[in-house]
Amino acid sequence: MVVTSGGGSILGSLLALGCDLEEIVELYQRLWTHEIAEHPNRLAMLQMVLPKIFKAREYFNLRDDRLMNERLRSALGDHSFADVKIPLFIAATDFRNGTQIVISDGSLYDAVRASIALPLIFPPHERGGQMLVDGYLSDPLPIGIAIKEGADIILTMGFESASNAQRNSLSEYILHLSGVISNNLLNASYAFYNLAHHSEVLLIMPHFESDIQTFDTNKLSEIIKAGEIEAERIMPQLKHMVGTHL
Amino acid sequence: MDKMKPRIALVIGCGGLKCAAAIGVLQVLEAEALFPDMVVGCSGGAIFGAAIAMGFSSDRMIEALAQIWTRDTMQKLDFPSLAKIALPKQIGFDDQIGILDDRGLTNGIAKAFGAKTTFADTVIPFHCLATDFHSGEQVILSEGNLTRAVRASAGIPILFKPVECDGRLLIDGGLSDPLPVDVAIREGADAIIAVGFETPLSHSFSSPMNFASQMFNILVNQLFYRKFAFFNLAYHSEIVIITPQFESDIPLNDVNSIPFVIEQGRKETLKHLAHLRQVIASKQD
Repeated sequence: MVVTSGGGSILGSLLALGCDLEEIVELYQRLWTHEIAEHPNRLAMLQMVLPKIFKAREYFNLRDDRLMNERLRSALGDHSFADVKIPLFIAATDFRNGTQIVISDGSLYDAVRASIALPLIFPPHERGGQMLVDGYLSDPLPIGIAIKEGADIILTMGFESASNAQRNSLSEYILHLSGVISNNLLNASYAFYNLAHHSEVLLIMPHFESDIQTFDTNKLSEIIKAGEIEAERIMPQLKHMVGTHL
Repeated sequence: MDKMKPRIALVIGCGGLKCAAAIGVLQVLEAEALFPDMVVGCSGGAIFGAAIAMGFSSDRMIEALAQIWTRDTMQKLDFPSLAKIALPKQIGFDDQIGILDDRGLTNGIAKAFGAKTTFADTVIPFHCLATDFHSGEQVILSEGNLTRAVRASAGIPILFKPVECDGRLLIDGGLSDPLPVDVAIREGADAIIAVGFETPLSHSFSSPMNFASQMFNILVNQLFYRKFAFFNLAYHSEIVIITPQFESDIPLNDVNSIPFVIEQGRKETLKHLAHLRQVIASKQD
């Protein structure tokens, strides 16, 4: 099974659909580029400067999401969860009550779009009357889903948000603070699962030479290499775990 | 040989004015002759933690609180920060941002505890938790000026400016650990009474700030649940977690609801009293 949250949902869905790795890299490189976050949402500017006149009714987002939606549509087409070759679970967060929502049926586009809706940057995604945002908000490391679905061995990757850059505006300041809390949440999740499920969970923590920002798609080969190195390092342990579960 | 007396820690998590429930918790403990040997506080909990550690009576704590959360504290704006937010490119943006004028908060805390009071002046050892603005790590403050430490720990970011302390910028401890039980464990507590709070969420969002605060509240709640789950699992025989319940949120300046908040703390503690006695008894053997 594949369990994903946030940006990982794009890769996870392609993997579950049965695309080969080269295909996934190629699609991802075309989809996830700086351009999708380049267009400001002009209404947001007015809402910030004149909040009394331009009321934010349902939500507030700094970036226009049309290009991202278009690209996601073309990558995922009309595929639904019924088309996946490997069972797939995509985590999002209900923004009204903060709980984790696990999506495992219906349109793949809907699920992925909800899962990558970074609050404040992109608008939330409405699905079945729920207002969904990025899964990291409720759980940056959704191991709990794999456990509930009966996994024996769980290979997991979680990433801290890097924030060495200087903050030049209130929105960057807010994003830095949300990164601070979500990194602490990630660490608290590691600690919990390490203690509660240490014999089922294997952590892959790639080490990156340079800081990787959200849209550094040009560094993809460096990122993939770091994942490979780390996977090779944990391979003996993984084989041992598989052995004990046979 | 006498039986070993277990060291009892009272840990008060973040929760703004809801932290006044700690007064109710303390009332129940004192009636049972269970006196904390150390106090750990975070954010709003640091204010009450410091007051308990200083040995204040309930009345004096409420009075101290009224000095801290005045109308001015919550309403006076900080125009230099607003200018930086409105015109970041022209004026220059930096990390010293706080939309409220923090002199009310800083002076209120100084008035309540004494501007020169240090951790050495407390009756019960006290530890206060803040967060490093840059690295996001938890910072435990256990010595030096008390007012400064409490002000740092209670510094809700964006509302109040971070506090500079030994070359670090410190903000609200809730961002790294909303229920700092681990501090009590490191300090050698045998039995821990942890008072923690959930932040109620909104259902509609009418401004960008509402939307941003919902995001922070979801994250801090999740961090609280995760820490809670971890401590429950790792230290279940040392810890009693008390989570006073409130149907709606208690605004920071709603000083009139303090008696109700204290009562909720008392009620919730009474529910856990048998468990608490059992934990303490098990540590005496």
